[in-house]
Amino acid sequence: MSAIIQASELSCFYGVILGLNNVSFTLGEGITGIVGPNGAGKSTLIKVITGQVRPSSGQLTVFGETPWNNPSVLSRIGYCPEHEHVHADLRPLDWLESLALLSGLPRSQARARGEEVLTEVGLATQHWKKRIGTYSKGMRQRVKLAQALLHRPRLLILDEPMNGLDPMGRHEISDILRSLQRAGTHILISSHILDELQSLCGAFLMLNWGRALASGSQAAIRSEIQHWPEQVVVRTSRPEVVAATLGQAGLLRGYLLETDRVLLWLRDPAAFYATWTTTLAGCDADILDVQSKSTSLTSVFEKITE
Amino acid sequence: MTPRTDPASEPLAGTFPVPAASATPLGAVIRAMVLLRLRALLRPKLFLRFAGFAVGIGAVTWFAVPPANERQFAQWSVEVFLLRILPLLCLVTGGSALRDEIRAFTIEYLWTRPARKADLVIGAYAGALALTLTQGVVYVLVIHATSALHGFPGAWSYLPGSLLATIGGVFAFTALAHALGVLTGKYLVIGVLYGALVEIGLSRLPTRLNNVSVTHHLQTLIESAGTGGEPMRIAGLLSGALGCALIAAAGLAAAAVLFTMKTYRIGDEKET
Repeated sequence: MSAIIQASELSCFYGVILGLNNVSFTLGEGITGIVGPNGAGKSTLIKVITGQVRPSSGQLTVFGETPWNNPSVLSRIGYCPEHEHVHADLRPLDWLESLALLSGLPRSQARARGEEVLTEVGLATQHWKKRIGTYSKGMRQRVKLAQALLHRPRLLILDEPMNGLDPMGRHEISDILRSLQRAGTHILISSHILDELQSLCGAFLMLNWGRALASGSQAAIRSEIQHWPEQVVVRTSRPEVVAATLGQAGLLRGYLLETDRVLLWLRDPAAFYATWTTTLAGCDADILDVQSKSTSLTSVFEKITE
Repeated sequence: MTPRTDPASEPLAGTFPVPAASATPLGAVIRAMVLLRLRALLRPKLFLRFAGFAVGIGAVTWFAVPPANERQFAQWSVEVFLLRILPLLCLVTGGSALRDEIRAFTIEYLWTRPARKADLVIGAYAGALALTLTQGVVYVLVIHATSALHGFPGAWSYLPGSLLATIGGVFAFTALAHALGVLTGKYLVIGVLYGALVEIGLSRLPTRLNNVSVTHHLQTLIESAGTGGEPMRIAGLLSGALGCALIAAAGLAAAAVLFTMKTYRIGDEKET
């Protein structure tokens, strides 16, 4: 797998405000998710990748070149920003025609390409004559995606594209992205909600407080942190008794009591899974359900951001 | 350019060429930016404002300037309109050319395209120029036509000088305003301060320092245009036009350098 984006000791500060702090990673082909809570540095990283912000130190390359003031890189990138701001007074085809010209498409084909991408993103033709300012959030999101596809970018970058979309809209956008991936477009997609990316992305870059916590495939990230304590939820009639019993047995690092369940942080997962049945058999509580919280990438992310 | 088609993918299957991996040509950038600007602004609301302003200027010319009073006509058409109202018009339109895009966050759709930032500056300038030039020429025609209808046929003899000064002024003032707009969001305040210091202050100094003011060059253009039966002075016309062109080029160059070097506040980012 060849590298599309490479960062080496990349830092980005706005005065004293930290954007990215000494981040190094390599992102490859396919669909990659950038995840992290608000303020993690996702948007700053995307702005560096799209050449909008110059790094304070370190280096970032896209297709082997630095993107700042580099049309050669930008000609291969399509960018869909997070915000909803668009040229609200324009009709979508007028807007797309101008942006297609800016992207270097021939004048004779700019408008036709606009029609093609609007069809591609599923914006019904009856809306093409309306001004974008009258569009719903979902329709604007489609037009924003359309403008990013105008020049057939090799790398499509989407900043929080699922924001404000209903489940149907998210599903449709996901389908469009998968279809683009099959056609050979590499996609970088950011979100602060990891769950919505898990089924879509083959690899992830996890950010928090401007630092890269982990990167790679889901399996690689999990295996990287397999030695970390697991979380288990036990549904029971007496959560406090379960917590006390397991705690006395030295199996817990911590716990959180709720009405009908207890969330357990395990000290040694291997020891817990080997002994929990016998340990709990002796306590005076009904055990209704035991579930590991750590099967999803979300719980992995929660752990590494602890 | 090689067409990129992919039979495995319905949405991407097409015959549109992939743009070359290089910067978009300046001509295409100018065309795109002018289209964007004009399409966004040319709406009934703007036409009404435009027409209302033209009627207002005509009304002032009719009621405030006595018929056949050459001195007052010159004061109104040159001192007030060309040297005060027109620069303000250029300041508003030129300053907002890229600043409005920055404020509205829509700049992100423009500068992430494979166009050089300097070319975007020139394209935005061309868009602003198209608007200010159209307005300036129409308003000048309104002033002269109204005055002629109101009993001052000699007003037409001032027209060549007024039109030349309008064109020169629009080119220079719009470029300066564009640079201010790229530099700061407070371009209106800075522009008015600049006007007071340079265009009103420096231009009146009887030294070569007044060459830095657009006003000085506009006055040279008007005086050299052969008003009232006086012979046209080609050297003066060339000097005035060259002065305006140099100031316009300096403003545009400053805007291009600033826009290429600066990082702007988009979303949560800081302007540095």
